[in-house]
Amino acid sequence: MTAVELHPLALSFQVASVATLLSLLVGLPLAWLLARRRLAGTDFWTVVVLLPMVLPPTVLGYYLLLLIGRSGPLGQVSEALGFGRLVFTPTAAVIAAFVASIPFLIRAAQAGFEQVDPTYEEAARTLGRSEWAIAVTVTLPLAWRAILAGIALAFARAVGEFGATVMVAGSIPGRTRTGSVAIYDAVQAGRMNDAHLLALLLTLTTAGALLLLTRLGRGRGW
Amino acid sequence: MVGDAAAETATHGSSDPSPPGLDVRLDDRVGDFRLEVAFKVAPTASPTQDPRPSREGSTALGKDSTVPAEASSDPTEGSTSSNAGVTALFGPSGAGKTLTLRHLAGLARARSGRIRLGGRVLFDSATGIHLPPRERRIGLVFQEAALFPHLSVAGNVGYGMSGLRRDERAHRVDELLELVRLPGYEERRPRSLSGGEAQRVALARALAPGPSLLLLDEPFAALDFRVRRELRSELLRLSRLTGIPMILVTHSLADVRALSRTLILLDRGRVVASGPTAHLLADPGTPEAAALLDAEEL
Repeated sequence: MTAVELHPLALSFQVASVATLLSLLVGLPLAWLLARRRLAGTDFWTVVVLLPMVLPPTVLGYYLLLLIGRSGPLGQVSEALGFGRLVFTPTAAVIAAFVASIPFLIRAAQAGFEQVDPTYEEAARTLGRSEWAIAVTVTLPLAWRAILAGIALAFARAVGEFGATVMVAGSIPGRTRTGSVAIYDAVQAGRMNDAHLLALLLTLTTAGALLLLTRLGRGRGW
Repeated sequence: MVGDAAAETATHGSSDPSPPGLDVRLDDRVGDFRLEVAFKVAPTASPTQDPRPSREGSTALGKDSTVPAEASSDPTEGSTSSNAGVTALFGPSGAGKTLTLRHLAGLARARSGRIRLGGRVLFDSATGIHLPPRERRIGLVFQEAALFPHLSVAGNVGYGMSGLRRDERAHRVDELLELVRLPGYEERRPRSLSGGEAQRVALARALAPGPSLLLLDEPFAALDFRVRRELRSELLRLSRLTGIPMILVTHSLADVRALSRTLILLDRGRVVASGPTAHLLADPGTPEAAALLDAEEL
């Protein structure tokens, strides 16, 4: 086993970590809004947010290609700002993993927020705290377990991203070839030993990450 | 806040300086239920920002029109003679008691009406004023205590004092726990507390920001009778020590007798009768009020 062969695995975890972090930053506020505010068109936003979860990954990849391709709006913005093209870069892999995984985080976090008894938030209001402070000091900590579960699901989904990733990031060895893509390539090329090893390592490391998150969630009993 | 600025203007710009005390007029509809209440609660002691036991016995009756002096000198109401500050909102389930409290706290907004407290306008549908709860300085104790389960007792009591320095806050938390007779409970977790202890912590938490009015939503309902009796005298003591006026929602006549100076009878969203507790108990005035007071425990 050489360093080059292990690169897809390392890339997978880098991409999935960044994508999960982004999902958390974008998804938590959205989940809170969906759970706690009467938004105009809540159903519409729910569908938009959950769509990436049910769409075929290739459809997702196709739309992303339209968006971040060289003639797509985001692709052009990126090139105009001097960041270069987006497609077939590790950034594209992150974007694909992010879009595919954020619905899992939002769903779990929204359910978590909705389970928090609003009486706690009302008590906090009468104690003179701002809505922002209440969300951070009351709602968030009380929904923490559900959010952890969402992080675990989103991370697993991001590690497993394949269809959309292949379409927007391709499979450039040492650059955009993630673990799940590398397994497919290995099988296609008849390198069954490589596929076997990669699959095993991906299974073990993902299971380990999930176990860690589950443990974290169990410790917080009040 | 916009509402705050508007309230200031309304208060200072008013040609008729509103008398201190609480003045409530509400008209609201929630589904089929209509709440249409109007009542006044006369001021007691000057609202203090510091609920420390430093003003013992200073809860003088203010100059007020709604409560005649006889209320405080009725020989048959021994313990009520000095419990100046507690007003009871009494009525059966579904009378609108809790909803009224929620309006006062700012957790609900009526279609029309006005709420004034100590000369401040908290809500006025005519001018569109609706102060959010955090600007009202009104404390609320919930039926089930509603202590934050993820915070320690100290974290709960200190929650409403986020403006204070860390050491000042810790000091105030100690004082407040002393006040509710739970010294040394700082690091306890809410789930480890008995029902009575949890309500004492909830009281300390509500007193912490120095409210000018304290609302209590059936705080004894979930407790057994011995703890109830204990907490009643505790509440009476706190009322005298702090001078903070209190409104107690209850459907127990025992609570009314033991605690309140003023009584407001509520039924089906309307005020049936109101006045000094001793008076109303002796002479309900109308058959409707008499019927409500006749049911020993609603």
